[in-house]
Amino acid sequence: MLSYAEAIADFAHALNDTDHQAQALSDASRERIAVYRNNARLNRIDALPAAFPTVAALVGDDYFRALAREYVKTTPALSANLHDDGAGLAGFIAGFAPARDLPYLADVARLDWAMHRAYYADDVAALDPQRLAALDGDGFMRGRLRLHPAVALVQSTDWPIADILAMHQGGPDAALAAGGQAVLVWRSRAGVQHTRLDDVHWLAALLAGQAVGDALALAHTDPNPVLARLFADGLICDFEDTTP
Amino acid sequence: MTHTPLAPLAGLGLRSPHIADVLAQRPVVAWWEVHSENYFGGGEPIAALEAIRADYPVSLHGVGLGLGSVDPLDEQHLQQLKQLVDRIQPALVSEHLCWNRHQQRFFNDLLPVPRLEGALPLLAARIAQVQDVLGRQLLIENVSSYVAFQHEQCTEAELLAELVARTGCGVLLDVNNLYVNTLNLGSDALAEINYLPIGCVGEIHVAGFETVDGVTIDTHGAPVCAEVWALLDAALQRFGPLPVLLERDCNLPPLAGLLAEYRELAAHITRTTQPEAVPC
Repeated sequence: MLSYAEAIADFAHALNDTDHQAQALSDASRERIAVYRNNARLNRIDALPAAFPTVAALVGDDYFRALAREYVKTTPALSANLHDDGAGLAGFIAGFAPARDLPYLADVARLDWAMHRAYYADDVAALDPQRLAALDGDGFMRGRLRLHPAVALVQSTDWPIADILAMHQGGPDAALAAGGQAVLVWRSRAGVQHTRLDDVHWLAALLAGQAVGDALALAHTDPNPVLARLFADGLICDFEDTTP
Repeated sequence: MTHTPLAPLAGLGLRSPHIADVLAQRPVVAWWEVHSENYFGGGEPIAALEAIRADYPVSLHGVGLGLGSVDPLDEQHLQQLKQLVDRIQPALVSEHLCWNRHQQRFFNDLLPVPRLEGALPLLAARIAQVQDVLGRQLLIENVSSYVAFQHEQCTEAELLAELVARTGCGVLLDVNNLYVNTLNLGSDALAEINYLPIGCVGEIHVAGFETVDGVTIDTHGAPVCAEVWALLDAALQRFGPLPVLLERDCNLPPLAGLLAEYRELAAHITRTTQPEAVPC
């Protein structure tokens, strides 16, 4: 007779491997494990379109469902929370042979995912401005900023992801020849926001935790409008003072 | 003894497509139940739930903790649940008698626990761990099952009763799940109800099911059937007045249609628990 742990292991084996017959189950009900295989798969497949609306719009519902089915088949779920499940979809698309004629799709998926994560990101309080008021300018430049977890910078080397997103939100047709674009994603009181950014290296450095001064030195254009937006929407959450 | 901080009235499962309508209309509903995982994290979802919580009692119903998994409990999931409980201050917190993870791999479904040697100590330890972290009682829901294990040593009600005795948890009795199990596995729903100790049940669920390829699937996608109404009455007669939730997940009707089903449940509970209040 199997123990509890042995029966679970046998059940899990049969969920993962359709050739495995779960001996832990009664003869009369053994075949019905298919219901669980289907439920676990369909729950994941059904949840993915909501996280990837732009990808789904680009390829159509049937194509997206086929893509999601392959993703779910080859990618174990790493969370009980279905809202976490698409973390690997962009990487999967990049290696998905049938999507080779849509080479921009993986980068659009990264943008969709960043917006999905921004929607569910934890609430984190904004930095108290008093913390900065006490610093001199050099102290600020030497320190590091921690940004809100909803903030993400999505960069595509080759594809106009901002234009593609705009097209699916009612804008003009995107021209693929426009080349690579970057999109800043964040969350304000009004919900998830995004904007195209052309000068991004300084912001990528800031997000990566480089000192403020070192990051700003990379800017080719005035970074103040973006910084002002980040402060205004409460997205600067902490300042690490590195003054010796 | 299970505390029932909710009044013994009908409640309604709240799903995200209805939230805007509920906030705008503030319908007459005694309490709402939501799936905990849908409110993990911050932003718009939890802000909406806080707005609802300001006007209604809320029950948090988890689908992802996987209490029966042999893998250790997912600490991050448990901490996210704790943050949600601390923020929403729900009337009730519940989870399922199920597992969902093996060797780090998740199965996004409610998998039945084998009632075999080792079930009781593992489940009791996990429930105690969750109750310690949350600092409050957890209600454990009986699940619908499509499979039976060989050589099971007890019924689900016997296992639940022992978990109640060992951990002080309560029971969320889903009478639709009991009925689905009678159809799929030939179990005895009334015997399960009658085995559970009086006082251990803190909430009841009713829902509808659908039949696919000869298997009855607990989809929460159809109205409540006559047999489930009868089991609800049997449970209310045994355990006394309790909060009763109408669950609907699939084939979700517009809010107005769901509210009509809700009022039917509320009237049914009134007829069952206060027969003298109904003229003729």
